[in-house]
Amino acid sequence: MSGWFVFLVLVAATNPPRLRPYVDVRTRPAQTLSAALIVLGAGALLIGVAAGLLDALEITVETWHLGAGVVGVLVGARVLVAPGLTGIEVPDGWAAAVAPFAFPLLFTPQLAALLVLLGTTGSKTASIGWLAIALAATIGVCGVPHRRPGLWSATARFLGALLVILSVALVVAGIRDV
Amino acid sequence: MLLRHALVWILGGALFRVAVVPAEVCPAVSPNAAHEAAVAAGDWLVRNMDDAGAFLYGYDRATSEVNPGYNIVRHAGAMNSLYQLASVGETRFLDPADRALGYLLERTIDHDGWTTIAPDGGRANLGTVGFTVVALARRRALTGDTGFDGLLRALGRFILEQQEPDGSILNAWNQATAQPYPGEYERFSTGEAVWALVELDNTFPGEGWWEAAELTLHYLADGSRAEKEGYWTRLPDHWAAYALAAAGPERLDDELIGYAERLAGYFSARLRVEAQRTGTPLSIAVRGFPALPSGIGTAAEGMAALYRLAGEDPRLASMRPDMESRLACNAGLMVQRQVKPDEASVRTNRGLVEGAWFYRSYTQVDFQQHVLSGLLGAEQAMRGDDT
Repeated sequence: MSGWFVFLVLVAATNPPRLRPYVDVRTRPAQTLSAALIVLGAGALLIGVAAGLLDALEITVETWHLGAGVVGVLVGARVLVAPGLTGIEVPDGWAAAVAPFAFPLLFTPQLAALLVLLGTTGSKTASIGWLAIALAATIGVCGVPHRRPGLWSATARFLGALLVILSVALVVAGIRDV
Repeated sequence: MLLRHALVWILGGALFRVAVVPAEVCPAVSPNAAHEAAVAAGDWLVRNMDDAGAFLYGYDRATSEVNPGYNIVRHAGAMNSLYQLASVGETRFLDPADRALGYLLERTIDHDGWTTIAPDGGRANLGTVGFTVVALARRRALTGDTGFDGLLRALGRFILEQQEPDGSILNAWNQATAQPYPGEYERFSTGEAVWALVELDNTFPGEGWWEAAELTLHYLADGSRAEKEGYWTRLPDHWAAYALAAAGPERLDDELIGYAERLAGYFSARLRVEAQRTGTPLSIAVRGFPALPSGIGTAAEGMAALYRLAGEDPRLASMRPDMESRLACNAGLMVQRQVKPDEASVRTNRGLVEGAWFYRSYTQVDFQQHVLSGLLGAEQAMRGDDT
């Protein structure tokens, strides 16, 4: 996987326009940045233990390619149909950094599946670096004023479609790789 | 909120594990065990062969009924597997392989300068000729007997007669009309024929066999077959893999190496899915029954052929460790699934079940043929043998 592919698939998986109604780095910068650091730490941990995890689960990397692709296709398709998130309550204070900012908004199943894949197919350091860049991009988008909700929704759908396409590429790689 | 999401993660993870990424179960196996299983399958073929050299075609252990049907292409394929066994040192299989060859020699038809093989009044299938050429070439290398050289070339000329200018090869020839069946192609016979052409070139270099083989290999590799014969993708053609391996790296351009890579991917996916099929009710629900042994065997055969090629070709070398893993995993599975002597001993028709692989309650000659050839390839990979 090229660096650009990794960056795009990570951003499509986090889908910042979808988070924007809840995550606002301008009004709650400390909580938002803390959430990003929590996710970066959890992601780095997952990347670090990925190979051992797959061994323990008795799954080859190529099959995980397929699995991560399937998760991405399903999530992307769901975003296409329903780009908005509902039922998310954002409490006041620091607790919001953990829930809901880090979990479940930033650290999603599709992101976790991708991080395990990255941890087994490339340089761990580079993968953590790409995660950091993707999180920075996500937080950056969450600082843009939230006007014209229709545009945000369309952008979320676009990233959902991108996630579907990139995930299909992962499925194909899972079939074609030995 | 966290608890609710934790619950979603746990349930989603469990569903993901069961339905999308079940464990790939790879029983441990030694090269010797793989070899012994292949020999036991060869014994099944020989034990159940009749005086005319015909194999027992199929047997259902639930009903104790023998399948009275026959398929001459599968006969030729099983014969070739016996020669494979003989060529890895199990020379006691040479005589029964020759008896199976005799069955085919009784059915040769000479016409217009070439020779084909067909049952009485029946169709002359390309696959029968392809396997016979490969087997005769293998026999020649093993024994040094050049007595069939004329037949080898005559069978090769039949393949050339069936070949069309775009590299496609017609599947059959009609005895009644003395013409090929126009526009009829078969999923596997093209690969069988091209393997035969490559073996002919290896046996008789410089006689023009490679040019014909190369034309058809590109027909398979560049997507022309898929388009012409109506497949939505290039087929996972294990016979083509044998042909590529027999051709060797010097004669394979980048398109053919790309084709080899693609085939290896297909075979790997098939072997990995099979390793996820444990036969438990849950596994059957999400992955289906363990597949036909012949189908799994072909994937292992194809992978083994490409493993050999990867040992000679640096363009494929990086794939070799994973190929070896897939082959070893599959060998462990198939050794585990084979009917062992102790299990066979409690059955009425012990000779019909021992050494065989069953799909549910049924076994067939090609189940043994393909799995034994795949096991020999796996044994070679596990030993790190490059030959």
